Amino acid sequence: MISDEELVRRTLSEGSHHFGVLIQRYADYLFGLGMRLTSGNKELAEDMSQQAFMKSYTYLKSFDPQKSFKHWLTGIAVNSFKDLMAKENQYSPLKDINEPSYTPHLEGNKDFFALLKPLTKEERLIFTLRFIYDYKMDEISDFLDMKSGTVKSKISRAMEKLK
Amino acid sequence: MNEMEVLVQKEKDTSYNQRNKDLFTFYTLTLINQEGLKRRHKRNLIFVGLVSMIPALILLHEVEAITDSLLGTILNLSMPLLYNLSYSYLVCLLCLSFVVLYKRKSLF
Repeated sequence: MISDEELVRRTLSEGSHHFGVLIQRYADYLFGLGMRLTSGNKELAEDMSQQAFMKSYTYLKSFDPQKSFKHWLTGIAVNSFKDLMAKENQYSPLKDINEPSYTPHLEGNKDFFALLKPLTKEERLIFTLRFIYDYKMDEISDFLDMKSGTVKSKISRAMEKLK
Repeated sequence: MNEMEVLVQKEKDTSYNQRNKDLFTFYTLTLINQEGLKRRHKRNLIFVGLVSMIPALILLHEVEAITDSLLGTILNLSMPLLYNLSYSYLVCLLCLSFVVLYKRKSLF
């Protein structure tokens, strides 16, 4: 199997068709991350993973082959999720209007999503990265461009809420 | 193991699969190529715009001389013409008024 780093090198030198292999390889992983972060919203999860792939292709030159591609892609996906949420919040005043609205079709482990319901989106993101994907505090702080201490305090606040 | 740990473990064991991965890959690659083309077109457009501005810049450098010579030509040609026209108009007007006044007097 060709390594991720080699595929990145080939994509940069030979063209985007090599990137298709990377998309195939990480489509499920990013979709799963999206599902967990959006509490099972399939459409949003797909949007998030697609945006993450597109951004990663745009910034592919900045990828450091010494580091893991999966780790780098996760960072981009986390930022794509934040962008999507920011875009969604822009339109939130519309929710006040008394009109029938779009109800997303939710899938996945409903009990887990119900457990995370009291958390804010950011806390849910940090909790998921820490306890589902077992990322270290430093890695999460790197993804979110936050100090490690801030991540720790956010996790302990989330744990307090969940107790 | 409390309830939260059980749910976290259950979620860890859950696997999510992207529906129709081939179509997703194809569509994402199409979007990527489209974005690339858009960027390339934009770059070309900027390049063409800058290149086409070079003659304009050269002309702008000489614009004062060109304006002066053009204005000079226009003024040299138009001023005598305007002067002659106005003078002829005034003469005609005077002649006409003289004729009219003369005719009125003759009527009385």
